[in-house]
Parts: sequence; structure tokens; C-alpha cells
Amino acid sequence: MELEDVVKRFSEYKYIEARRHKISLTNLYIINGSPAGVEDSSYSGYSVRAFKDSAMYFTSSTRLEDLTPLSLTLKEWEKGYSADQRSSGSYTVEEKAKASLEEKQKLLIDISKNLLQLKINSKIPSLNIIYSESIEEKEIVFEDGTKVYGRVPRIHISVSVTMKSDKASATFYEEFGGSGGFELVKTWDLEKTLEEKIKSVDEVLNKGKSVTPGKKDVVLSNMLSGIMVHESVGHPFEADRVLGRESAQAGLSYLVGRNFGERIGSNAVTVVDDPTLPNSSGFYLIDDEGIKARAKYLIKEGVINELLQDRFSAYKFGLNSNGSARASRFDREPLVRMSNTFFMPGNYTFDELVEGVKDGIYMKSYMEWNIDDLRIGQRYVGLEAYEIKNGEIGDPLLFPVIEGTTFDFLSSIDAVDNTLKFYYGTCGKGDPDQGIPVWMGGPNMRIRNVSVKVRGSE
Amino acid sequence: MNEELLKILESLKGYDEVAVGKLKIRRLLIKFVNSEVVEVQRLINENIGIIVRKGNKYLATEASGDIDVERVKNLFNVVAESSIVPYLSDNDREYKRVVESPLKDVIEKGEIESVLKEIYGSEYPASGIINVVETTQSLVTSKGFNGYFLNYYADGYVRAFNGEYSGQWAFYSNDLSPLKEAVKQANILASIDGKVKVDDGKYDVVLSPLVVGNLMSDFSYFASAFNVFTASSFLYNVKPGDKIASEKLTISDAPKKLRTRDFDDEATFTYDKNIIENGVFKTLLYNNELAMMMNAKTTGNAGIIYPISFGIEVKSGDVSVESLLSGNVIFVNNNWYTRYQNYLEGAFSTVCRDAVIVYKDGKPIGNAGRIRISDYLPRLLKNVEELSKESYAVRWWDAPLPTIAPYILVKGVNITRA
Repeated sequence: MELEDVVKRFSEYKYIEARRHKISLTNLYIINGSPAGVEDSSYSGYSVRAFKDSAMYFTSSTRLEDLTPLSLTLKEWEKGYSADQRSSGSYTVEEKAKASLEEKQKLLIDISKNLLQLKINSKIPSLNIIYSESIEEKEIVFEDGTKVYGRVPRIHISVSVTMKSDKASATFYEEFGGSGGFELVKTWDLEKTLEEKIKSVDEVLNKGKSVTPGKKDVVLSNMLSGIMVHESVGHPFEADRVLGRESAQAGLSYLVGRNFGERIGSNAVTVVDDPTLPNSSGFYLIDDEGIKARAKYLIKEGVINELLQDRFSAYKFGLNSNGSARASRFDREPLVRMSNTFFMPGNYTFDELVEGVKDGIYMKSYMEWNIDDLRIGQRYVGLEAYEIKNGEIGDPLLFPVIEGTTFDFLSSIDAVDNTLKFYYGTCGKGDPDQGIPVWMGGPNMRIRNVSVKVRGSE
Repeated sequence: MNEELLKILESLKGYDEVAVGKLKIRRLLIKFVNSEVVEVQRLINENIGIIVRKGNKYLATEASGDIDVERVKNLFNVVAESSIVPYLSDNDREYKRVVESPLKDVIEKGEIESVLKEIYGSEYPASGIINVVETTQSLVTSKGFNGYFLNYYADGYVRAFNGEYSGQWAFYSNDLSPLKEAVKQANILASIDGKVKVDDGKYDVVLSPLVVGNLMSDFSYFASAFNVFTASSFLYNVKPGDKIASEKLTISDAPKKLRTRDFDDEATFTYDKNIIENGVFKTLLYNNELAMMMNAKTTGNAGIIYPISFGIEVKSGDVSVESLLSGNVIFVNNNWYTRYQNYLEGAFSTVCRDAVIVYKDGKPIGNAGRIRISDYLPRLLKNVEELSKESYAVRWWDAPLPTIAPYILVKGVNITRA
């Protein structure tokens, strides 16, 4: 039996997508410099999502034979789908370099051992690495005969570190990810990046001083602007969330009741979601509803410009889909998802951002972050953080907290520098939960007059 | 019984230990928004997992659908010796339990009229998920174990919206009977309106069973011996007998009471056990390998390499919910997005949502909105003042571990707001 046969089985429906979806995954575990096992997984199966009148039905199985229609009379929420032109086609990402399991294990063990032997003042009770490589293959057939094929290999490395000095302790994660082959690992410069981070955390743990609470100017690093754009702009710009489809899970959006063209940030704020970035974690060229992918400008110079749409949300807005539907596995429905989301860089240099601060903070990395379910109130706890005095970066600070609203932050960004860096993230959404690989990024940014608090006695 | 798995086991000779497991899940899911059905999902999933170990080498494989045994053999040849390897239990029993349940017809025939009646009948527009699930867990090992457990459960959550106010409730059960109460509770909580501003500071807080469920999912992470072994838990350096919590607090891993698992992934029969008993630490959650490394005995919580909880019970107290709310407290109906700054210290913050009600002299004076609990989990455990006699079995999207939880009054909780 083929996907086309399943489409015929659901012919009573007006809209049909049948998907074969396979993710092959190999994980290597290294604990404190020693191998701790290999896990080899394959999640392969089929699904059908079908829609007629206003009834949406999704079914999945490891066997095509199990996929059968279900007739129910319901008071339904979906009303229709946008009249977009689907695109048949395929997209693939090449693996330019490969390495054997032994080579990968040796590399990771060597890096771990070298990091554990660093001459620092803190102890490292634990340093663990998970190396994960996957290949995602999708084949989708629609009721009009459109066919889409995608093949995206990815690598993701997650490093968790526990450090302890006489004065304080820290636990943190560092993640690396992208689409492609082993050539990605060479570009990440793992050992150097991790060595620098461990040394600066060591400095924070031993020399970090308490922050003085109050309103201050804050320079956020590329990493902080990445998490902020994902949480404060990307999620609330998912059209299904604005419509309430996720209202019982991750919540609604501050965009409910707002209009396109409305100002939400300063002129320095332009936000893009672009699935077509080569070697990105969120790469695809045709979405899971058969719509061609493109860059979306969510905010243009501070003004609400566009939401992330699939065909069902676009119908309710009276718009076209912009190709944002993705499913994480064969047994998950396509949802409106981010891909690679970022603040656009500007013209300043990093030094110029810092020079403009009299008494403030440079927050380079973070430990904890979260945001409320309207995507308004948010908080970040700094890991590598430094005071800025009279335009110069000074002493390390012990875990300053910034807490404020999306509106405060976006409207107070007065300058962004000319760099653009991306960071790996696993974006969560939906129930059943769908963790999906994305990039998030941006330039270094300066935000004026931010509420800075002291951890533990905010 | 389990002939397909025994055949795979038979084909894997020459190893010290082999385990072949299968988990089949059939699920009917109803997603609803504003009291209308968004989608009905019927999901069938079948995963086969194989563990092979020889000396200090092991390989764990898992596949949905068919599994490639030759790939297992070939890959095993190139894996390195490991500092930690799984050990199967010396259990050669044959075990079979088949639970009979009317939920079977809900899954197979789509008999969801009773569910729809409750959703459509919500006073305020309600959103949420109802899950009806059949799980079949099978495991055979080279030590002679042959186990089979067919089970049913239902869970769900309802979030009712009263304009800008909302209330949420959840359930985990052997049947769908708690749905009616979940809809009712969500509506009652959504009906409490009015606003009150809460400034940063320390407050006495009453956590609802949903919030307890969220925090207990995290607590189970900290109680896993793996996370203690890797210095990623505030229970690092804690010894059995240490007093780490309020004497009113008893937390158990409860796979039997919750009917979630009968045997673990290493063929150890599960049992309910206290992790904290009257404030005193009793045990971490172990599998065989972590127990061997940490001078303990398995608690029947494998997870290969990584022990996990199969469900938590927080023992209820002997006072009413009303008496917990009788003073000056903040009641937190629900929370989400709990994130940790520091796993070794258990420092975290979580965002409150839905009915976050300020009580003054026992009377509700308004909703505090989306304030944050910014504190340390060990400090919360120590500052538990009282627990309600009423308790609920809950599970929802941001409290994924089935948990039986009462309402809990915690003194001096650090609250912040954006």
C-alpha cells in the first residue's frame, strides 16, 4: 500500500494530506570524560490529516493499514483553509563530511578530558555531553496529487556542566546545532567555546559581586537577543496562538486585539523568521501543507507586519499561508511553527553599544528564563554578566536578574550592533507535545532603563 | 505470550544480557477550544526496544515499526566500553495483567458523546485536551522474564475563560468520571474576578494540586539517582535519614496506586515507596546500575541508565481547603514554564496563571495576575505548613507526571512580578 492509496481511502474529505515521516537518531553519551553508552533510534510511521465541512481528523500509525476515517458529528472550531497554491518538489541537505562512531567518541572524550583538566579555581563535579545526529525524511501526498519530499540531516550537541566554588555554584547548558553533516562540528570550535565559557563562569563564581538593584541600561548579547526574540516575538506571532488554538496549553498572545501596522517596538526592532537559511536547524523549503517556504518579516522597524500562518489560521485571518506548518514526527499534526527567528542586525559596533552606557550591565549568557502565557512578563537570570561603568565593561556580577514586559523591552531597544549569531533551540508546542529544532539569534542589543533585581531577594 | 519478542531475543545470542521490550499505545485525543472541537486524533504507536550488554559494552536501540536486528549486532561491534552499563534483574517470572475497561470502546469506536456533553455544557468557553489511552507493555529478558501489562487510563485538562480571567483544572483517572468535576472547578475558578496588585516580596501561598503536580514532575527529576550521580540535583550529598522537608510532607513514587507500571525496564517489579517520609529523606529512585554504583538497591524505577518516577503521590493532610485559605494568602490555581537557574541548588522560577487569588482575612479580594514564584524547591519543601485532606489525581501538559496531590500551604514564598 502506498500513500496515494491512503489518500483514496479518505476521499470523502475535501482536504487530505498523507505523510510518511521517519527520524533516525543516534545519541552518544559522555559522562565526565568517559563513554556512557550509545542509543540508536528510529521513529518511522504514517499519518493522515483530513478536513471536511468543519471537521478536522488526524490519525497516525506505524502501519498504513491502520489509517482509517472516523465519522463524527461535532461542533467544530476550524472553519476552512486558505486557497493557496501548493508546490510539488523536494529539498535535501547534504552531509559534506562524515565521521565514524569511534572518531566521534574520541573527539568528545578528548574535549571532555581537556575541559575537566582546566586550571581554574572552581571544581567541576560534572561535565556531560550528549552528541545527537539525526536524519529526518518526509514524504507528503495531498488530495490534488501534489507531492513533497524533504531530507534533512542534523547534528545537535548538548553539554551540561556543574561548577562549584567556595562562594557559589552554577549549572548550565551549552548547545550547538544545525543541519548538515560532521562538517558542522568543525565550524563550532567546541573545545575553545566551552573552555572560554568555563573560565568566565569560574571568574563569576569566584569574583562575581552582587548587583545593585534598580533601573539600569543593559547590553544583551547575541545569545540573549536570540532567546528574547524566540519567546517575546516568535511565539506570540504564531497565528494559531492569536486565534486561541493553543489557549489551554502555552496560552494566548499579547497580539489579541491588536492590528497589523500597530507600533510595538522602537525603530531598531526588525524581526524575521526564515526557514530557508542554509545549514540552519529550522531548515525547510516547502512546509508540511505543501506551501513554499519564505522569510517572514514579523516586525518591521517596530511595527507589527506579519504573523506565522498555516492554511487553517490564514483562512480565519482572510490571508494566505506563508508556509509555517511543520510536524515534528509521524504521529504529530502539522502546527504553525517558528523556524529560524532573529532580530535583524543594525549599524552599531559592540563597543559603541557599551560606550553609550554610564551605569549598566552586559549580560552575555543566561541560566534561567521564562515568560507568561500572554508572552508579556519575562525574566532572565544572567550567568556570565558584567557591570558597565562609564562606557567600559568591568567586574563580573553574580547572577543579576532582569524582569520586565515585552512592551518595555521592545520599545526601549535603542541600538543594535552589526553582528548576527544563531543558537540552537528545541521549541516546544502542542499537545501531544512537539519539540522541534530551531535557530534563534540576533545582534547584541542595548536596552535602556531595565528593571534589574538581585537573585533570591528580588 | 510475547512470541514476537521471544523470537528477537532468540536471535541475539552471544551477549551477557539481552532485553527486548515493546510498548504499544492506542490513543483517542479530543482537542477543544472555546467549547468547540478543534480536532479528534486517533494515534497508534508501537515501539520495540532492545538492550544488549556484553561486559562493559552496551547498546540501546528503539524503533517504531520493525526493528533491524542486524543493525543492532553491527553497531554493537563499534561502540566503546562504557563507564556505566545496564544490568537486568534476576527475575525469571512470567507475569500477565490485563485490565478490562469501557475506555476500550471510546478508543476503538470513537464513543465520545459523554465527553462532548461536558465540553459543550461548560458555562464559560473552555479549551483543553481529553486523552483516552490504552497501553500494552511487554518485556522479555535473557534472564527468563516474560511480562505483559495491558492498561487503560484517561486524563485531561479544562481551561475556562471569563474574559481576561480564567480557571483551569485537570484529572488523571482509570475512567472519564472526573471530567465533570474538572469542568466545574475550572468554571468556578474562572468566575473569581477583580484585580489586585502584588509587589515583590514574601507571601504565604496555597498551591493547588495542579501546581503541586508541576513541581512534583520536577521533584522526580531531582530524585532520579542519575541526576544525583551527575551533580545535577539538590539531593546531591543528601543521605537517607537527613531531614530535608517539613515533617508534614511525605512524597512517594506510586506506580501501583496510580496503576501506571507493574514492572520496570530492567524486569524489576514496581512498588510504591516513600522518597520523603514526614520530612525525612528515605531514598532516591534507582535502577540496578545506579544502585550498584551508589551502594543501594534498585527501587524498580528503571529507565535504562536513567531511573524515572512512574507517578507521584503527595500524602494529604487533615485540614480543609477552606481552612488553608482562611488567613492572608495567595492561592495559585496553576503555573507553567518552570525553569531552573541552578539544579544543584534547586533555584527556579515559575509563572503563575489562571486564578491567582489574593485572600485577606479569608476573603478573596482579587486576582494578582501572572506573578512569579522565584524561590528554591528545597526551601519550599521545608516551608510546607499544612496540607489539605482533599486530594486529586492530576496530569496536564505542563505537569506531565501523573500526581496525586492535595492543596499545600507554604509559608514565606518569594514572589516577583515583571
